[in-house]
Amino acid sequence: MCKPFIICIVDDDDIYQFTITKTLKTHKLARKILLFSDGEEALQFMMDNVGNSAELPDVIFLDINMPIMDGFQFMDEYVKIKPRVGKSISIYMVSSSVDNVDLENAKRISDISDYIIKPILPEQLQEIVESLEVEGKFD
Amino acid sequence: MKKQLKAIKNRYFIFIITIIVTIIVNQVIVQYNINQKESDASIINIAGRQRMLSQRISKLILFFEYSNGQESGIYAKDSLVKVTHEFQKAHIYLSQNSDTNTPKIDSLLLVNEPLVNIIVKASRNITSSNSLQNIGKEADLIFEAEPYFLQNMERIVNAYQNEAERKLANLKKIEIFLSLLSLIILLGEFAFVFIPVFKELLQKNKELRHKNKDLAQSDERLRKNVEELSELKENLEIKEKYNRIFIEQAPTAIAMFDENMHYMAASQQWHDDYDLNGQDIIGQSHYNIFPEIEDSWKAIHQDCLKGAVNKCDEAEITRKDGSKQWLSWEVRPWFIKKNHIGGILMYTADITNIKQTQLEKEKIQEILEKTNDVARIGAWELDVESGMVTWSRITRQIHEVDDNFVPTLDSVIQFYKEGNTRNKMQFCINRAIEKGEPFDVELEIITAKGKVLWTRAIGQAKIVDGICRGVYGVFHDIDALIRSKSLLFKANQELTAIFNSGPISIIGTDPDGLITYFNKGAEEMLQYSAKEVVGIHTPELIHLQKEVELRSEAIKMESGKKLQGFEIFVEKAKTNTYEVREWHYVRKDGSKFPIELIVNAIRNTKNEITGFLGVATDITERIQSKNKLVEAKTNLEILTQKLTAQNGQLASFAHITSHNLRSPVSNLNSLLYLYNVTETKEDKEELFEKFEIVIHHLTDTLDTLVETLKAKELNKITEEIQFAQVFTKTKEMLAAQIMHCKAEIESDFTQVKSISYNKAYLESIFLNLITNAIKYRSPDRNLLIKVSTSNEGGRTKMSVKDNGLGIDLKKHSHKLFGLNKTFHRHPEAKGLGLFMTKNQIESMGGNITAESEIDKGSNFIVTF
Repeated sequence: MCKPFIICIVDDDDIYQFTITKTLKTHKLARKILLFSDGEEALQFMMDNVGNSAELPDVIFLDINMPIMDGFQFMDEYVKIKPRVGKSISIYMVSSSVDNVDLENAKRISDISDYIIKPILPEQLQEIVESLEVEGKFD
Repeated sequence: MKKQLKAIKNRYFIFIITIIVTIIVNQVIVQYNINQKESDASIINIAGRQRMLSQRISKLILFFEYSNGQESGIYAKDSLVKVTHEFQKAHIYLSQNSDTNTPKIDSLLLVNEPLVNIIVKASRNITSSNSLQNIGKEADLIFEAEPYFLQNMERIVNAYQNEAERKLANLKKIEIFLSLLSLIILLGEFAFVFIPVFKELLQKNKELRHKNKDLAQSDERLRKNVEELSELKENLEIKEKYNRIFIEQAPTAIAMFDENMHYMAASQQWHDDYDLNGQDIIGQSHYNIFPEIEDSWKAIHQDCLKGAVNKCDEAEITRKDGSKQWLSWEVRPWFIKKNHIGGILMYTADITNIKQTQLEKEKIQEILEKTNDVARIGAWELDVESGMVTWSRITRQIHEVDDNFVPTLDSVIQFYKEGNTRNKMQFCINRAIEKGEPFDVELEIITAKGKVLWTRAIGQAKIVDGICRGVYGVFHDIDALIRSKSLLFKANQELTAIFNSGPISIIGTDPDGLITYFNKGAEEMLQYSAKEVVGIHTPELIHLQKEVELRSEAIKMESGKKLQGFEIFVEKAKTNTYEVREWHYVRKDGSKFPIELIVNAIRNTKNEITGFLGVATDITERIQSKNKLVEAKTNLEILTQKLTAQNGQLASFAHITSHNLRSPVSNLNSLLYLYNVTETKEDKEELFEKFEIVIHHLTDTLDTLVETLKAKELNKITEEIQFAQVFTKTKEMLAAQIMHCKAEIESDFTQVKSISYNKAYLESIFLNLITNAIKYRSPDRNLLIKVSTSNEGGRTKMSVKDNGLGIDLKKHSHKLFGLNKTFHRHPEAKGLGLFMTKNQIESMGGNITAESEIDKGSNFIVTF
């Protein structure tokens, strides 16, 4: 039985997309996986489905370095539409960067749940999904 | 004359009366003839009427005959009576008017007489008778007589007419005659009256001319007399004037008196001396003008009037106003003829000035002697002939001889130091005697008491008739002077030596800044000689004007004082402190050099400033070493900056490594994990493909990083490169792509044609920027690239502009040139090119910026 969550991956790295999808599927951690290559595509989707809770993701794994619109720019835009979003979404900043500057910037945004340094281990993913369950989103 | 005038008057009178008489006579004659004419005309008229009356009688008779006693016949009868009466009356008038009748007329009238009688008788008969028969008879008588009568009457009228015409002709003749007569009378009268008048006038004129001539002659005589008279008078006046002038203008005070002491003349000087200007004293008594004259003087005057002469050379008198006056005078009589005294002459002279001068002179003499005493200046004189010398008291004192000493030329010479000194004195004396040359020498003598003294002898030859009779002059003890002078000289020498030691400029000025001293150091430093500046310039000459102005402003800011020129240099020195300040001096050739200037005020014992002293040292070397230090410091700072920049680059490199290298590694890790958990062969093969991609990516990234590191390794061999060359090469390399997308590339390298740069880098920059432009071209329009160079602020710039997709710089500016950053969902966007380009440019000390607008195009600007 799959976990009942919709997980959204925003990353321009094809390989990363491939590996994380594979991992989520292997461990059956998501009901549905949304894939976007950059922030703009993801934001467009969010805006299109802002009132449609069923389609909106429960978790977003957001990369920092992306073309067109990067992770921070996405967050700037997301904060603007957040009041209209009819769902509590956990957003995780994901990056291969160990640069403290990125880390500090991420921590400063309150809507970011955590900052994860690539690669994400399957255990980490499991933990995150389980924590959602603990929060009692789905009884 | 009167008689003549009367005669003329009488003649005029006669003349007028004659004219009046002539006119009256003429008038009377003419009038008479006119009257005659009138009576002739009436007679002719009556004669003519006689004919008409006779014819009327005939008609009336006829009418009466035919009327046959009717009413009209009666009326005709009455008329016949009247006409007949008139006829008879006219005939009588004509017959009696015999004075006009000519004999021819008279005879004709006589012929008519019986005819008239017949007609009248017949007519009366007719009127008185009542019978018609009688009437016929009587009528026949009338008709018979009538033609004769008429015929005669006509002759009479003609005769009258002829008579009248003859009379008219007579009248005309008379009138012409009268006119001629009148004219002759007038002419005669004219001659009678006017000729004597003209004669008279001519006579008068002649007399007048004669008299005029006499008058002119007497006038000439008179004039000559007057001339002689005035000449005489003039001579007299001149003589008088000279006399007066002699007295008046005599340069001394002279006055001439008559016996009674009345002024006769006085010189101007007299007026001046006795304050008499403006007063008319001539004729007045001397004693009236000067009432204060004492009796003693009056007695002297009386003596002189008797022949005495009073004379005085000088006497001090006291004036009325109390002032003292020195006078000299002479009073003596003057003679009209021998032994006859006319009065006295008085001569006085105010010798106050002369006296005062004399007194002053004496005083000066006294002072001079005293001065000589103090200054130890004596006099001497040599009599050439005798060889004797006269010494003044001081001269004796200087020589330290007693009063008994008798100086001679030989003995005097002996006082001078033996050798050159004595020879020189001897030479000077000889020259003065032989050639009259003056001398002024400073020589040492040995006094009588054996003291050595410096003395100064000044001599002058006394020449009489071309021969030197003597030599005289002054003798001065100058020993103290010479000694202090030599001391001063020594001190001055020492000071000069101090001033001129070493390369130090010492410039002295007076309180106003005029240079009074310019030492050797200053001459050497500034290239001016002391002569060129001392007493001519102020130190402003050698200062940099701009510096002085700046200092002036600074002083104004500090203390509010507005100082100019020289005042600026001595501002501090004036306030009892000295000032050390760095300036620039300007040499004569205009070059400048830095100096350190110390300015001091020179003060006298009263603490008044008498001048300023500026001591300056050349601090060029000091400044140079200072500059070297500053340079070293600047170099260090630049090094620090470089190091800081390198640190920054290292940090960015760390960032790149942490992200760009970690990213594929993390991917590899993930893939490895998946590989381990995958079981199917297909899945494993799929994973291997992914591995391959990641490894390629990793290799690319590593290569780029290595390149970047190389760029940082100071591989900066530069050479002069033509932009056009590199541009052409780039186009060749990209020929296929350019052709494929039909791109148009323009270039303009006219502003800057070439650059000194690393060739490989420049090629790489061109390649990357143009490749980028091609890669991110717009699908909607043909690509147009413009490459140009320019020079801005001394730095070469290159612009690569396209009309491609453009980048949203608001969002991406901060990572435009980052590694692996892409802004387009483009199959070839790897994010390596701009990163490389930026690194290359920065490693060469330049930078790159971008301007862009989405869907309009981008412009990359490289500043080399």
